[in-house]
Amino acid sequence: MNAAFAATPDQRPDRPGRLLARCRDLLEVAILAGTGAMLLQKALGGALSFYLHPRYTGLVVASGGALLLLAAARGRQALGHPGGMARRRGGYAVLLLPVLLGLLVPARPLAWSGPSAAVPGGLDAPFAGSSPEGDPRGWTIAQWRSALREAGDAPGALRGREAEVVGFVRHDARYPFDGFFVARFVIVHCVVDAVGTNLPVSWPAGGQLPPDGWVRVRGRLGTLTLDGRDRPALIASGVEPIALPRDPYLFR
Amino acid sequence: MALSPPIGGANEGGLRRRAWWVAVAGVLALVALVWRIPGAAQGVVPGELPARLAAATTIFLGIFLEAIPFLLLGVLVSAAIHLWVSPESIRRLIPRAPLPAALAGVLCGLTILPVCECGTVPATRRLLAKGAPLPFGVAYLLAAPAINPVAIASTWIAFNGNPLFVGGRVALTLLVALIVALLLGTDAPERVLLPAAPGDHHDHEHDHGGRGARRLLALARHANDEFFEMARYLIAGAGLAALLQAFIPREALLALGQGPIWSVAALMALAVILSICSTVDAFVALGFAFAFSPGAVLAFLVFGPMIDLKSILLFGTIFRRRAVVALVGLTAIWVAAGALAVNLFAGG
Repeated sequence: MNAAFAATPDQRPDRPGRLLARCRDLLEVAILAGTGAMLLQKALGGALSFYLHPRYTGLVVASGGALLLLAAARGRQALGHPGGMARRRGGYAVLLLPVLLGLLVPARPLAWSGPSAAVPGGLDAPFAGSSPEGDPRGWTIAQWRSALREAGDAPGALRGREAEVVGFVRHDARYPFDGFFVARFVIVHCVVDAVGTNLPVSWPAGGQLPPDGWVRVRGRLGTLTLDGRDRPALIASGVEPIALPRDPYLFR
Repeated sequence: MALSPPIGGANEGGLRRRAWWVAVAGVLALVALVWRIPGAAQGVVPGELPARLAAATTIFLGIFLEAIPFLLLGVLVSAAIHLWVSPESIRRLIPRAPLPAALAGVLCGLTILPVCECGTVPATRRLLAKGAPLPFGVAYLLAAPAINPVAIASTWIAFNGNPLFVGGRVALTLLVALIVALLLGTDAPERVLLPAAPGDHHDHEHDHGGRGARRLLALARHANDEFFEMARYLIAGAGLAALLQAFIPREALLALGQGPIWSVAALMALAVILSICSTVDAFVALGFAFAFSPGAVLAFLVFGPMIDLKSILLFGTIFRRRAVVALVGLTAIWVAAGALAVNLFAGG
């Protein structure tokens, strides 16, 4: 791989050689500037939260700006010394990949129907969240799961408490019931460490809700019999489809 | 008789200033064009990608966006070392004997940026090219991602200060880094390291904009060269990690890892595939603590920062292929040995 990427000097290039050198100059400037633009667009356009914790926005913006400066320096270098620089061979397609994917593919958060089996977070998956406090009506799915785990995966004192959670619809063929799962991904740093968490929701015709569609669920905590066991679940009084939220993930 | 154009002086300075403005304008035009691609914020690929491909794309961009700041920091540090650190300074500051050199490398990991392999690889490459001893470079490369203050703090928070994981991570990282550094360091550098790139760039520009401006331009030039060299490996590694995570069920790998021995192997393999930054992998490891042995969790915490898909490819910019294989193999063996010892004595 290194041999393909080794730099070779152009020595007294002819016209086609100079043209090739100019094209390489332009391509390298485009790669640097395009990558910088992509970073800034993700950070300032609001899509960065689909990939990374928002606390890294500043770092990504600074990196985007640095790449634009490097692009300007590379352009100046090429204009001041046309055709006489050492050139890299190959690999430009790889370097263009993030720019093309970042700009041309619609930004979408992780969906359970994607790597559904690749993300732990099934009904019985352990969830290492922190103990929730305050009014349960303001709890997220992750906080409900933490509270229920502490209670030995039973409603306990939380039975009958009101809940209002936002998440995306998930169906699991292993657990057929009149309802659906409402799910979110919890991330610490970026989508690589995403862990899914979900709650069963009792709701007539819930099985017909489109998977990965976002909903707001209002109800009370009760139980459902799934796979022969009584499990904590939301007995929904209302399920309202909503738009994809700006922050689709829960952050730890 | 034709007059040749004047050289030097005010005319040349004017041409360089115009070159700057043309370059800046060109970059801004390119950025504006990209920004104005119809629906660039929403993407232009019609319809929805197949679910797993969409997940792979999201994961790939997540890894890339997470890593690129550290790669840029690393190439800037590397360029600064290239320009302003002399081989004589290296020889003066870093011990030549293998064990002291390896210890110095580990200590640098505690104190000197950058923190993860995306940044440490370019810096190590440059230090070795300047004559730093091989044990120093290998020790710094392996230890820095895991024993920097940020990684230690995050491990403390995630595991509530549990000494087995906090102290164990630091201790096992130090031990493995020293052992591997000494083992690889006994070999002749020319058998381990790639030959140096053919000379420095011969740059005929003489920027009369001032000493500061000339230095910054030189820094940018070398940083660009390092970026183009390193970024392709980062991108390839991130792509591979994303595809594996999107198409291979994580649970399948974890299901294989039962028992004190196979659990260690399963979490070490998962650490390589996930390629998570060492500053936050403790929180991911915490999720495995319920189902896996303590040694396996420790192996995840120690092996992941040292060896993952990104770093294996990045090592190829420093070491010969057989040395990369040796580096990965020796690290895996000694991490596994340490983790199994923990399972044996701590119970798991």
